[in-house]
Amino acid sequence: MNATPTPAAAANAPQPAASPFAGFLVGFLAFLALVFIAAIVLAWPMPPGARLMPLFAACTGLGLSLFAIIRLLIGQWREAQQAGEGEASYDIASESEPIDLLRYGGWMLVYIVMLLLLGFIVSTVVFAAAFLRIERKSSWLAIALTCLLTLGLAHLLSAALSVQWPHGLLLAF
Amino acid sequence: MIEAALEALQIILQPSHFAYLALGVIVGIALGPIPGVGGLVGMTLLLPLTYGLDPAAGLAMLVGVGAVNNTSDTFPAILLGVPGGSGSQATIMDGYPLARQGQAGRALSASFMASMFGGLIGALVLTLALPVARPLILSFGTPELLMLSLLGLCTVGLLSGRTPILGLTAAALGLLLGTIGSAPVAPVTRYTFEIEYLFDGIPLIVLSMGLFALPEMVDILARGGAIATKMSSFGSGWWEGVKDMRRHWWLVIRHSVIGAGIGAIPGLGSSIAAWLNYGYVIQRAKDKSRFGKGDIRGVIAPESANNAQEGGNLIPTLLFGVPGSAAMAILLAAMVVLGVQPGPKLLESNLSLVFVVIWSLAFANLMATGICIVLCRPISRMTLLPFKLIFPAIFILIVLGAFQSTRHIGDLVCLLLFGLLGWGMKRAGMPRPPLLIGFILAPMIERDLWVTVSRYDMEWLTRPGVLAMILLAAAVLSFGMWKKAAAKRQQELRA
Repeated sequence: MNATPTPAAAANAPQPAASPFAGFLVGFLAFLALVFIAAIVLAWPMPPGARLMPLFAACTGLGLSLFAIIRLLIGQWREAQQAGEGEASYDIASESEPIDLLRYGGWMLVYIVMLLLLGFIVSTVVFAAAFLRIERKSSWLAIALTCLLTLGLAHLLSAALSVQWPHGLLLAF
Repeated sequence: MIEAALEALQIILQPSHFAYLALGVIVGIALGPIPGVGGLVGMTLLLPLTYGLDPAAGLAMLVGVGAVNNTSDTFPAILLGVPGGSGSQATIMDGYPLARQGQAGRALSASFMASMFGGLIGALVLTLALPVARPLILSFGTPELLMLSLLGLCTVGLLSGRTPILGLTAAALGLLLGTIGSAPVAPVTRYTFEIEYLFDGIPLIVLSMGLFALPEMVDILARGGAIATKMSSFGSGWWEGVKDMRRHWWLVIRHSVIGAGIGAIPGLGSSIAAWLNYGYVIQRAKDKSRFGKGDIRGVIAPESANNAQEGGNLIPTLLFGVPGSAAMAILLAAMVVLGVQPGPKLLESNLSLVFVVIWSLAFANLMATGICIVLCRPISRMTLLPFKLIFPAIFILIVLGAFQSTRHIGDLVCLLLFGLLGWGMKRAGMPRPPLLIGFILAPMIERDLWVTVSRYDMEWLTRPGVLAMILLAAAVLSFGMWKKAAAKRQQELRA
């Protein structure tokens, strides 16, 4: 027969570790709350027809994010997490750290900036070659093949479906 | 009606008509897996070819493109975690984790079979709807449509597993992002900061690829190795998918019917159909612990629904001449080009042509499944390649796909910004799907909210349809809270 634990026993029982993302979540929710506040401030002077929806969305979002922050700060979150164990996760769990975002997001950012400056062909060749050489230590043959395949596919899409490439400020191809 | 159906079958089985249908199917399958380039592009591409064609052949070809797009866009969703089209976004949630566990073949085969049966059931629903859909759809006024959208949003938010508040917050953020750009009911722009790119709002493709594809890529690159973390025999995986279909046949029927129903409501589209069905399958499941980690039911439900919704989508298009989506607008344009007047009169004057569309839908789904199953094995091997080797090519394709939205530099900047937002949400444990659904529903909710408030004042709350949906929302809410309380009680008893 299952016995209900006494309050003292419950207090002495080992507590599950807080979610490693709880701190990040509070910060993220605080950021969202600021976004919602800014959205309300910006929407206020708009004509009634234009501001109805932004105010509806921003006020709802602000209320919910503040409620979530308060719940987190007063420690009910852990309880909520425990109660929800075994339930479905509605999204794929994260596996990367901020340092990974800086590293690989940085590669993505560099490619976009190159595209805006050097155009599609030069940026694609430089990006693919640099990434494969630095991150994977690929041979030059593999790099050349990857570049050829990627550019070939892009050309095919461009010819068959009128897919356009971004033009750079310095080079227009 | 049966005579018209048989006559249409004879027409569609003529070699020339069948060849046009096959051309449409092949174009649809080829374009489906390319992120950002979907059935809409395929239909636009083939639209000029319909000039001078026999109406039955022209419509068969265009229906062929649109019907199969939701089948082949599953390849990148399951294998790479990148949505090929809006209908495959929900499939990522469980299909991609299955691929990473070395079960890509199982996920793909189950998905293709579900898509096929979904498409066939969608065609059946369209057939059955012909005599009864008109009074039903006409009974929906603006307040009912508003309540339906809000109900969908609440359901998705509340179904966000252990974090309903976070899900609803994400949905509110999606609604807010959906208001960026020109206001539909007043001559002002909102949150554009005088940036010309934002005047027309944020493109859906850019938002969805940034939100889902980029964070996934950072995660796989950080983990290193291939997408699949486990190796498995593809052959057994394939049969496992077929067995899954047999095991969950009821899910296919249930979600196909729901998907077709959602498709019949103009504006909701395949993304909403897939997400709502994904949420619903989770809610109805006894064991929810595997969802989001690789549960085959999370693949079968959205895939059945997104193909079935094509059949539902054709109901308002053919019966009222009201396009349910952008692709249906192209189909309507083609009908006008071919000299066919869609609407209630079509049923009286040219019923066999309506059945040509229905047969095309059914045959296109059968053909697409056959082709995808043949391609399944070689394409699945992609998950065994080191991801760092294929990352540059995939990222470049994503960038190209995003750039096609408006062909403006802003597409690329937004892609990165939403990638950052998606990564932040993923890391914080905040579900991203409600944001996307809020964003998609925002224009519709705004229009309906304004019309409802300005035309009906508070009287709309007393309409029977609205009351029924409020009761339904309350029932969903109460059921969710009751289940949570029951789970908590059980856990306390176990402790």
